[in-house]
Formats: sequence, C-alpha cells, structure tokens
Amino acid sequence: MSGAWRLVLFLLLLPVGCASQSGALAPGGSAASTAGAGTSTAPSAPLTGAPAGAPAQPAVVAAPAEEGDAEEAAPAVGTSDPLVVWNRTMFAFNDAFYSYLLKPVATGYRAVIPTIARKGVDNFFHNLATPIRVVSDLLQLKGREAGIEVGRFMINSTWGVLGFGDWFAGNPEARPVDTDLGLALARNGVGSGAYVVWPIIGPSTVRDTTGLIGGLFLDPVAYMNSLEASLATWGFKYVNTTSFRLGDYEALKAAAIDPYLATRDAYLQNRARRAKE
Amino acid sequence: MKRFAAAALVAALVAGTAQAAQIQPIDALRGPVASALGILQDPRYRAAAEKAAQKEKLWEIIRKIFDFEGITERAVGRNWARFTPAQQRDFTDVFSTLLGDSYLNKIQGGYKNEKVEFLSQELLSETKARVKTRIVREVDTIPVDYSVRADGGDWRIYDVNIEGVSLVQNYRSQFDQILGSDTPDALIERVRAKNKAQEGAPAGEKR
Repeated sequence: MSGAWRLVLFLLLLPVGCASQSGALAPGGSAASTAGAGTSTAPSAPLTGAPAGAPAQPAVVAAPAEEGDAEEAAPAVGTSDPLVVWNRTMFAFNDAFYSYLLKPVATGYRAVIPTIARKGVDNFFHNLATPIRVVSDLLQLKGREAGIEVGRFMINSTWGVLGFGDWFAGNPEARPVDTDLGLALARNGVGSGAYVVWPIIGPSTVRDTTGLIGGLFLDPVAYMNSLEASLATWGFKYVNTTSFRLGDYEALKAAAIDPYLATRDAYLQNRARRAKE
Repeated sequence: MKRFAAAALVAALVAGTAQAAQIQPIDALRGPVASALGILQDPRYRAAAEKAAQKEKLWEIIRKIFDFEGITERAVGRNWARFTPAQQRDFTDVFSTLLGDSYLNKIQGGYKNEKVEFLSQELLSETKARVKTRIVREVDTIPVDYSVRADGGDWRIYDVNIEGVSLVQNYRSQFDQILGSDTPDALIERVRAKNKAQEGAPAGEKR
C-alpha cells in the first residue's frame, strides 16, 4: 500500500527536507478566477513569472480541482511553462541522476544501515530544520504551531539526544504540518512565478526557490566550516531520505503518460493545497 | 395476530432496505478497504507465483468501488467530446488498466502492514461526498481523500486526492497537453503500448 501513495510525494519532496516550495496560485481570490479562466497551453502565455511584488499573478495555474464543480464541463486550467525547455532538460538529467547515482547509493545504504538508524538520522535532520519551520510558521501567523515546534526541538534535542530520538513519534497531533519559507511567502500574497526544475534539487518555482535560498540562512548545515562539509552533509541527508522512498519514482513513471507533466502538476497542486492549510 | 406480525415484518424489511440505500459514504468504503488489506496480508499469496491471483482478487474489489468511466471522463475533461463513443469505451478500458496495474504492482510489492484510518466525511451534496482517510506508515502518515458519488445504492470513487494532489487533475494536465497535438486515437495507442510494455513488470521494490 505504501509506495502507491508516495509516488508523487517523492518528487514533491526532492528539495530535500529544506523548503519545498509553493503552489501555483497566489492565495486569496485568484483561485476562483483561474478556475474559470480559459485555457492556454501555449508556453508563450502572457503571464510570466514576475516574482515578488506582482501580487496575484499566477503564471502557472493549476487550480486544485473543486470536486463540486468537477463535472467534466469545467476545463482544466491552462498551464504556462515559460522555462519548459530548461525544465525538461533538467528533468531528464534528474531522471538519469536518480537512476544511475542516487538509487544505487540509496539502495546500498538501505541494505546496510538498519531502519532504526536511518530513522534516527531522519529525525536528526528534521530537528535541525526547526528554525526554518518556526520562522515560516510565525510569518504565517501560526503561533500555536510555532510553539509546538519549539517545544519539540527542546525536548528532542536534549532527551532525544541531539534530535536522533523523537519523543513524539506516533503522535500526529504533536507534529505540525511541514512548512517552509516558500509557503510563508505564498500565504502573504506572493505569486508563485514560473515553474522551474533544478538539477538534483528537483521541481520548484521562482517563489519557492527564493524560499529555499532564504532557508539556507536558517540551516545550520550551511554554516559548517567548509562548503565541502555542507555539501557532503546535504548529500548524506538526501541519500537517507531517499532510502525511505525507493520505488516511488519508478511507480510515478509507470503510472504517468508524460512523467514531466505529471510531476509538474503534482508539485503545483501540492503546493497550492499546502499554501491554504 | 399472525397477519399483524407478517405486516410488521414486511414493514421492517422495507424500512431496512430504505436504510441500506442511505448508507454513509464513509461506511461504504470501510468494507472494501478492509477486504483489500485482508487480501494483501493473506499469507496464501505471499509466494511470487500467487501474485497474479492476488492481483485478480484486488481487481475485483477495485472494480466495485471505483467509477472508472467517471474517472476517465473527468481526466480527459473538455476533450472528451472529441472522442467517439467507441473511442471513449476503448480509452476507458486502457486507462483503467494503466491505473489499476501500475498502482497494484506497486502496492503488492511494497505493502508493509500499513494501516488505513478513516477520519471523517464531508457531504458535498446529496449525491457527492468526500471521505478523508489517512495511511499510517512506519515513518509517517499520508492523507488520502476519496471523492465519491452515489450510484444507485452504492458510493463509488471518482477521484483520489493524495497529499493535496488530485489524480484526475494530474492526468488532465497530461492529457490536455497531449491532446493539444495528438488525436484521441494516438493517445489510446500510446496508453495501450505503455500497458503492453509494463505487462509482467515486477512488483515494486520492497522497503
């Protein structure tokens, strides 16, 4: 049962741990207008990714389907993808990167390292990313979630031995939804900008990339002594995370007619939904 | 006295039937999901040779609760009008096969005693509802919402929403692009070829 549900999730969370970024819609209002908008599949659609400062100008518009009016007459909202050539190239690169590098490494890693240890590492990095989530929560005026995150951080860092242990495991209520600066920007009215696929990091948008960069300032790993150390640590985190999701990407490819489009749509839908939570 | 008893019995039966027709969507899904999990956990099917039989049994359940015609029509969206009735039937066939097989392959290969928790339901209208569930895995939980529609006395699924991603919408974005430059026949052939290529594909990776 597991993998099938995770097949989009893998690609959505390829931006490792750190800020995965936001959805297609500028929140608040544009959802209604885009749902009714005509479609425009031409990549040269007039809406471009004008980032921060262009309020409610969704360049890539994939309105989450409103089930109530999902009666077939409702046209799928057109998507503009001005960077499609770059994106498809990077998507192909990431595909090869996964198949020939990441997957073998993660498979070997999983075979050797027991689940408990891998889960511990997962907890450790999740704990380490707390500052990003706290700041993002506060920027979204989610004081309660911010408080819970701080509490978790304090307990797991001490009693949980630097965050390897998670005293709150198995309690979904004590784990606020994952959030990041890209979602914080979305909540505050910033349009998503063009969809862009980065090598290795994966799908993103202009706004989300901004959020990712902002998150770097809050990521302790970025302050390590040397760039190599930071990259090695991020690489390790990536391998560890992937070890839990092996097989998902293959399933996505198996189920999709056009994996690039499937990924793009899934990413944007997911971000749009999370921006509203 | 006897006649009264008989009349009361008939009345009770009629009332019972009426009641059954108003089964709640969340309850309508519980049974099939439990059966499916049961089949996945059944030790009889553990051997690789039994996987085909297991898949067939799972398909039986899936055919009952999924409204594939509805899913296909919604996934194609406004382009559905470009399909002739024969093409519509064909495409529904190949598309359901694609969905069913690729997901079942993955589920069969990767099932590890995940639990499905039913959280709540939301009645959107008399004939439409949304059932919220959660899949509890070793590492985390995944929210899965089912959009269901009343069909006679049954509730059948016409969309699945995983972590905020609607299946129908996801395929619609793909089909829109493809049908923008290809004919319906070409799309049908493409899906059919994909199915063929994946026939006998090994079940997904174990965790």
